[in-house]
This record gives sequence, C-alpha cells and structure tokens, in this order.
Amino acid sequence: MLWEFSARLHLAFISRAVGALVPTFWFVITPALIHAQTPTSQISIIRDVRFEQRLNEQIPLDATFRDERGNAVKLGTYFRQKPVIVALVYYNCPMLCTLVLNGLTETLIEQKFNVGDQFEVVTISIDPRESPALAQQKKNTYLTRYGRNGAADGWHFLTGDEQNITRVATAVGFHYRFDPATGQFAHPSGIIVSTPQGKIARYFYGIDYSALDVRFGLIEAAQERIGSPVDQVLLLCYHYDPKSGKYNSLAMGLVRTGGVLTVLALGFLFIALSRKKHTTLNSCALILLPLFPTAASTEADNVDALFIFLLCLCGLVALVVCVLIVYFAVRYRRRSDDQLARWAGTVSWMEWSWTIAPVIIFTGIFLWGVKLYFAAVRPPPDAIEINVVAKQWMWKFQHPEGQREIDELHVPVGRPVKLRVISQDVIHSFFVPDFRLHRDVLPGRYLEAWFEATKPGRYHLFCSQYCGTDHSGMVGYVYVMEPADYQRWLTGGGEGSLASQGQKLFRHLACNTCHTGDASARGPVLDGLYGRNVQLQDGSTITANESYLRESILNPRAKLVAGFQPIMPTFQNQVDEEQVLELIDYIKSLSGYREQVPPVSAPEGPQPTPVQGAIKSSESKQP
Amino acid sequence: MSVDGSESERDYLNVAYGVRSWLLTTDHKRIGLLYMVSLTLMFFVGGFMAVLMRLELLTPQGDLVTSDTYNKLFTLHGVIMVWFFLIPSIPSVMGNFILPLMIGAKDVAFPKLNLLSWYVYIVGALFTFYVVVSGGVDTGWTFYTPFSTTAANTHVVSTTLGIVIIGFSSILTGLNFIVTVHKMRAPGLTWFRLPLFVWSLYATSVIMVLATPVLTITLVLVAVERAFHVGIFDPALGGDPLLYQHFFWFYSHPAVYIMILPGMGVVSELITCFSRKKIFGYNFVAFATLGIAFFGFLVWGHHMFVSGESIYAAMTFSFLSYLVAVPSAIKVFNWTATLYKGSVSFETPMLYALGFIGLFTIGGLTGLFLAALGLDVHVHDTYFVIAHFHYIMVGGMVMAYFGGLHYWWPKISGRLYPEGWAKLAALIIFIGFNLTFFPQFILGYLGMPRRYHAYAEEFQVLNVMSTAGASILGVGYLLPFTYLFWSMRYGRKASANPWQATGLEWTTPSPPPGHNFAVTPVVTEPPYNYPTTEALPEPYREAQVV
Repeated sequence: MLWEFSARLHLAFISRAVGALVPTFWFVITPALIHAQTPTSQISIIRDVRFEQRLNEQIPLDATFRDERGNAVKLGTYFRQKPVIVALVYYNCPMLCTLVLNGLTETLIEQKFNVGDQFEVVTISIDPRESPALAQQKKNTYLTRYGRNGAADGWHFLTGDEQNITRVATAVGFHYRFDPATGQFAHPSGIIVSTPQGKIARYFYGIDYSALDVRFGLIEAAQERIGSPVDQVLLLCYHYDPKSGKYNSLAMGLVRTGGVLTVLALGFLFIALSRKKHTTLNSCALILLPLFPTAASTEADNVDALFIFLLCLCGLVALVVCVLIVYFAVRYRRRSDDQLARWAGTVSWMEWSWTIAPVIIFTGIFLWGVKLYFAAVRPPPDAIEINVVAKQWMWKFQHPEGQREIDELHVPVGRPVKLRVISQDVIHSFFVPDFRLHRDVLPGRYLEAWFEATKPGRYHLFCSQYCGTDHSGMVGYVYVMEPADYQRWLTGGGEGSLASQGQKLFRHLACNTCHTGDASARGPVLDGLYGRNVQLQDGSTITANESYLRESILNPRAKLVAGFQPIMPTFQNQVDEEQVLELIDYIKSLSGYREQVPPVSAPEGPQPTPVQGAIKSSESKQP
Repeated sequence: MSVDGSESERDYLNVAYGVRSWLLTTDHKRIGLLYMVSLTLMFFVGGFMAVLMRLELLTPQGDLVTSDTYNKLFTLHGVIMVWFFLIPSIPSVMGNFILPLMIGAKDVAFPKLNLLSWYVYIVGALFTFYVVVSGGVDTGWTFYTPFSTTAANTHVVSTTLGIVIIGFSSILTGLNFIVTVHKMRAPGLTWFRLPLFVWSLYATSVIMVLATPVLTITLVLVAVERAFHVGIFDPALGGDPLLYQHFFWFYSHPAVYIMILPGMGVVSELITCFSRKKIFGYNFVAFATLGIAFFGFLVWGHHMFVSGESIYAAMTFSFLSYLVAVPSAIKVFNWTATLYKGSVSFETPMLYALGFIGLFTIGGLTGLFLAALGLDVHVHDTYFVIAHFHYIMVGGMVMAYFGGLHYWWPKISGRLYPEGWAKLAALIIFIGFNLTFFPQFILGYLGMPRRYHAYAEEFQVLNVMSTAGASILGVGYLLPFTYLFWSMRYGRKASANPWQATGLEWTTPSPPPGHNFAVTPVVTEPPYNYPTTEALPEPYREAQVV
C-alpha cells in the first residue's frame, strides 16, 4: 500500500517536474541547443508545433477512423449527448504522449464523474502507420490504470489515415510535424474538451490537468446539464482563461482589481478632501446624522474632511487585517494533532514595504493636519474680539461694545470672531463641538482662538478640561444670530463700551496719577502704546501686546521700561482678569484700535425692544 | 498535595508552607504569585469604580452620586488601573515568573531586591487604600496644576506619595530585569535567540528605569508646591502650569509603552506557539520593540496640542507621534503574516492573542486621528480619547494579560484550566469590550467631554449602550477569576509542555521546582524552532498538505 502510495506520489512529483521541464525544454533549452547545431529546416519544424486557439470551432464529426477492433467509425458516433475529451497522441510516442495519457488518466481518476457516464474520451493517433491492435493494447493499459467499470464503452482509442487525421488536427488547432530524420512527430501536449455537438469548448495544456478545471470544463461544455447546483454557484466565481488553459478564481481577480481601485480611490479622496475648503460636506454626512455633529463653522467641514478620510483609510486597514487574520486562521487551521506549519520564512521586501509605506502615508496625513491646525490658530485680521474669562465654574464674556454675558455667547453669523481666553483660577478648556473649536484656558496667560459661524442656531459650549467639582456643569450655549438680530441684541446692554468701562476703572484705580499722558510723568505714556515696540531697561525690546499690558498691570517689575523707576505697585489682588481686560481695552482704544476693527454698531432708525436670547440657560449662576 | 505519589519532586509551591515562607520568599515564582494576588485585588477595586461610573452615566443628570464623588471615582479608577494594575501587570506577574525560566536562569539577578519591589508596591497600595477610605482624591489621574496644587481640597499629597512609592517598585523591577537579561542568559542563548517576550521585557525595563524618576520628581514637586506654595506651577507666584504638563507627560507617555510592550511580547509568544511556527520577521519585530521604546520618549507633547504649546512644538510632536506608530504597525503585520501557512489552533490563549491584534489595531489606528493636529483640536479631551486608550489598554493589554495568564497557567499552577469556560469567557470579554467602548468613539466625535458626570441629553443613547456593554464585560472578567481559582484545586494536572511549545520554560516540570533547572540548559537553536513540512522528505510533506 505504502509502496503504491509512494509510487503515486513519486509519479505525481515526476509528472509535475516534467510538466515544468518539458515546456522549458521545448521552448528554451532545446531551441537554443538545436539552433546551435541544427540546420534551419529543423528549427522551422519545431517552431510550428503548437496549439492554435480555435474555441467554438466545429470538429469534423464525419471524419472516419478505425476503432480498437478495426471497424470504420465516424467520429460523430462518440459525440452523443455528452461532452467529449479529445486527446491527440500517437501510441509509439517515445515520451510525451505517455505523459499526456498518464496525466489524463490521473485527472480522470480524480474526477467524480465517470468515463462513459457523464462524458466520453476519444484518443486519436496522429500516426497513420499505427494499427487498431496497438490501439487496443493501449486501451487495455489505460483502462486498467483507470480502474472503474463501464469505462470501456466510454473511452475510445482510434487510428486512421493521414487525411482524416489532418482534418481533425487542423480543426482543433493541433499543429504538429513529422520529422523524417528521426521518424518521430513533434507535437504540442494537451487535451481538448468538446461540447456534445462537437464544438471546441476548452483547451487544457501540458501533461498535468487540474481535476477541478477539467470538471468545470466538462460542465460548461455540457452547458451545465451535468454537475450539481454547487458547481453552478462555484462556476460563477471562476473564469476560464484560454491562453493559459486554466480556470482562474474570479475572486482573486476581483481582489486584485479591488485593491488597485481602493488605493487609487484613497489617493483621490486624500487629494479631494485635503485641498479644497469644504462647506457642504456635512450634508453628505446626513445619513450618519445621529452619529455626526453639526458643522456650524467655516473650519468644521475641513476638519470633518480629514476625519472622514481617516475613517476610510483606517477602516480599510482594520478590515484588511481582520479579514486576513480570520482567513489565515481558518485556512491554516490545525486539522490533526501532528500537523506542522508549512513554511516559516520571511519576505524581506514585504517587511520593508510595510515599514516605508506607512511613513509615507503618515507624512501625508501629518501635513494635512498641520494645514488644518495653522488655519485654526491664525485668526483673520478683521475678526471681532471677544474676551472670555473662565472661572470655576462659569464662562464670562466681554463684548467690545460692553455687553457682558455669563455662560451664553451671542455672535453674528458670517463674521470671524476672535476669542481672547484666560482663566481666573485653574485650567479650563473652551470647547464648542459644532464649531470644532477647542482651546485650553490657562491662568496667567492669554490664549486665542477664533471661529466664523456659518449657521444661525444654538450650539453647546462645554468646559473640557477637568476643573473641579462642577466641571460637568460648566456648560453653556453659543447663540449665532443673523446680523440684524445681533445688532439689536448689542444695544440691549447698558454699561457703555468695554473701553469706556476700562476708562472708568483706570480713573477709579488712580492709574492716571502716574500715567498722566505727559512724556515727563512718572509712568510711560499710554497713548499710541498698543502695538508699538517698547525699549526695556535691560536693553531688549518687546511689542506692547495684550500679554505685555497684562503683565505690566499685575507684575510691573517683570519688564521695566527704559528710563522709568520701578515704582508702579502691583494690582494683582485688586483687579480680576475681567477688569484687567477692561483696562487693556481702554489702553488699546488710546491707540485708535477700535477704529481699525469697527465693531458691529447699532443701526439707524427706531430701536425695537432688544431681543433676549430665545432659550435661557437652565441653571442660574452666582458670579 | 497529591496522593498518587507521582510527584516525588518538590515544586516551588510545596517546597515550604506557611505565611512566612511566602512573605519572606526570594523565589521569583512566588513573588510573581504575590504580585498576581495583589494585582487582582487592585483590578477589582479599580473595576468597581468603573462600574459605579458607568452606572452614573446611564442618565444625563448626575443623580447616582454627587459631583465630588464622581470626580473621585474617575481619579481613583485611573490611578489604580494605571499604576497599580497595568504598569506592573505583565512584568511583575509574568515577567517575574517566566523570565528566568525563559532564559535558563535559576532566578533573577537580585532576588531580595525583587521581594523588596513587592513590598514597596504594597506600601504604595496601602497609601492608596488610605486615600480611598479617607475621602478620596479628585484631581484626575493626571493631577493637572494649578488645580491639584492650589484648588483641590482632597488627599492629593497622600496619593502622590503613594504613586511616588510605587514608582520605586517599577524602577527596582526594571533594574532587576535589565541585569538579569544581560548577565544571566543560559550558555548559547545569544540576544537573537531570545524569545520576543524577553525583548519586550527588556525594552519595558529600560523605559521604567529612565522615565519613572521623572514622574517621581514631578509628583514630589506637586506635593511641595501644595504644601509650601513655592510657585513652580502657580502663575500667581510666577510659575507655569504648562511646565507640569511637560514633566508629567514626559513620563506618562513612555508609561503607556511600559504598559503595552510586555503585552506585545506575550502576543508574540502566543501567536508562534499556536501557529506552531516561528514569528515572521523576528529581527524586524525585535527592532520594532526597541524602536517603540525609543520613539516613545519623544512624543509627550501630543497630549498638549490645545494646551498652549507653540505651533512648532506641536508640529514636531505630531510628526514624531506618527513615527512611533510605524513600529507598532510592523508588529501587527508581522503577527498576521505569522499565521500564514502555519498550523493554527484555537485554544484560549490564542483567542486572546487574536483578539489583541484586532482590538489593538483599531485602537492604534485611532491614534492616527489623534496625532493629526487639526483633528485633535476637535477630539482632544473627549470620549474619543477615552475610547482610544481603552482599546489599547483594555482591548490590548488586559487581553494580553489574560492570554499570557492562561498560556502559562499550567506552568504556574501545575493545573489545566477548563478550556470550555475559558473560551466562553474570552468571547464574552471580546463582545462586552466592543459594546462598551465602540460607542465612545462616536460620543467623542459628537463632542461629549471627558470626566463629565452629567452630560447633554443627546448623548444618552450611546452612554446606555456603553454601560450595557460594560455589564457584559464585567461578567466576562468574573469568569476567569472563578475558574482559575477553581482549577488550582480541581483542574486536571498539567504536563511539562501541554502546548508543545518551544522555549526553555516548557522544559521544566509543571509547576517547576524551586531552583528551576537541575542542570543549566545550553541553547543551540534559534527561537521558535518549530519543525515545518519543508524539512520533511517529499512524500511526508505531500501527506501533510491538505
């Protein structure tokens, strides 16, 4: 048993090896050798030896041959209701035909279909000199090898004369030559599957035929009248490639095409989403509405674009990894306790590819992220400035026109708004998800954030940096209003502009006793100071911006102005951050700052009653 | 012990009895078990806090517990889970137990120091217990200043002291392992013959030793500032609150690699054993491990993109954060490729390993979202970040811990755990985990901030889904606790190598004797030297092919 098994395996191995070697021999080595040693005429013999594709052509069914008993038969006798495998060989062939027939027999053995039941086999000798007796001999040999009953009536070994042989060979595209010098035929190797009507359906080349391929070929040739429903389904996934004579899984083709298309699509998506400024992306995300926040600012759609691209990219990678894991785990599952792994090498180029490719892709994403970030941190020059002071646990807003708000911020639509944020105590974070606006609010330092609202409405404001007991209660709303409504709302305040409040405070704190406005006063002149360079005592210069002004009020010794004495007291414990902002706004107004950024002023004409925020915040706050 | 007399050898469990033999042991295996018991206890304490949090989050209003209580819950959940469970977990339990066995040594380099590490851990844990029972701490596990130094009125100093102390446990363990790996490998066990678990432990130990001191000093500064109002972090006194964030994250980012690298090492062991084949690309995986450790030190600023760091610092950290993702990607691809043409079986450890790869991949990919500057602006400090790190820590690390626990359980206890229950638990954990944390990605992008105990109404549905998942996850975690315990007494006896794995630890009996190896092994083979069919003669190879 083991010997036979071993012999079969050896045969399988040899046939595969030969199957690989023979074409190499024919098409590479032999021509090379022969070319070196052979006269031209013999080279031309070999060159003409091949299969010519003649799918759907008709095999001449009226060609006459002799069967194994010597009777004259028409070829059509064997073409009844079943598909037929046709093999052109010759029985005295020194090597190749034996291999063809052996290979054919192997394949037939592996078939669930039986020779004679679902299909027939016709073997025709291309050598007109061969006799029916020889054909019978061969038949006996191969039928014994095939080993199934009932095959004798289904497998036919024919011989014939030159004319009929040539007719059939030409019809199926079997180009061969007789070499008188050796007395041998030079011919291609392969088998043909024909429909019951004698039309050529499939070619299978070489000497080794995949059992599955032949099965599919027979089923298709029989126009699917043989084979089970499973076969019909499987056939949907396979596709015959005439050039190679093989059935290829459509799936692999689909996967390959899909892979290329996906990479191209991702590249396109990257370019499309990263380049443009987006305004309508959110409407496309409508289908995901409950899962996606509103996009209510100019930058929101751009941020969403990057998010969606990353969703696609990362979703794809995750899917591929998961599918591969599942596929490998199932395909290579251990079926018996002693089953070993089949291969344990490594593929260097793969490892380098999946090291370098991520770096490239990540660099692209990084650059896109930087682009978005730069836009988020650079406010446009004509933005309305609103001060925000965060303190546990409320948000306090100062509009330049003097309006103050707690936990509610009213802004006009379509106008950029720059927020100057600072905390009275601990770190908070100003977060408006619908604007994709997010900035930590630090004590002791001004930070800026900006947005431009695109849709009127009410949007959540959250504190998103943990700040103590009522962190989750430090919430509010941003009300985006139409410009006309906003102007009406602005006139509802009563205290006068922020700068005028600052002026009052300036006098109240007696700042004007030192900062009289004379160049010879005890304190530097504040008119025109904002935005100018200031020479400090240690020789350095600094631009007089908000941070400098704040520091000068709260910690005057930190940056002494050249030529002045260090006599200014600190106002650290006398003013809170809001009051500092008022003072700063006043000092800015002394440089004509407000003229550069005209605030949204009240309209002319009758003033209707100011409209309060339509929805009040549900909790009242104690400032 | 056993009645049948087959165990004439004494193993490390029965070589001595009594509390003193455990509390004064210097056997690395017993110390590993001491850690296992302590860690399990801390896991359930931290987990209990999570349960309360998720129950609170069923409704948008804060109605189950007060704000202060909720704040204390999430703070302690973070502190306990990070420092008292995740950071010590695989190194202190499995590293201690398995590392010397894996390299053919009788013990670690400094056994007494090893015991001291455990005692230091216990002292740190006692500080935490004190904090829990005496009113808690509510600064968040990140202790951001100036809240923690000026505004908080809870036990900040005690907590920071407890963490400082347990930091030393980390440092000493790391030191021990580094010396052990350098000096105590068996003859013939060159660096490139080491199992990848050892590489991971080595890289982890280097991070532990280099990064933990920064945390120690940072928390000491917090305590000093709080007690003496020095003005390091208080802007009113001229300090800078952002400085704290730089110090803290300089440690805490490498800390997350301390947490995940040992898990990756375990997964390399599991994938190779249960595919019965060597890892695909050993060199790349080993170097990727070192690469993660190195780059992990360079990315701390990505926690501060909206905090007020400069644009150029932000850009640098963003780019470096993308680079640190590359070695992790390499590992995931290499693990997947290891399955190819292997002989894959699906025992519980393998289920955990496969779950790890899937969930870690998702968690890691969402890191790409967070590293993108413009996108992080939106999702920073939202539930998106919470989902991201829970996917990696719980979906990754905790699953790796359980995988390693089941894998080495026969070696540790001498018993087999019940496979059916174990598989069921793995499945429940996987499903429960995804149900709990996937909705949180959506919540985060919608804008729900972290650390909120009352939230906007529209977030309720997703929160309810998350809590429902958490209940399933909780059941999943209770199961191993039960059956592993059960198996210690009633489980089937395990042979020396029930998984037919390579590795020196499997050449010892289960459980191993106190001295590990009677004769020091000599190593001549590469790691994961599983035979493949390629080495077989042709007919037998064909017979194997299915």
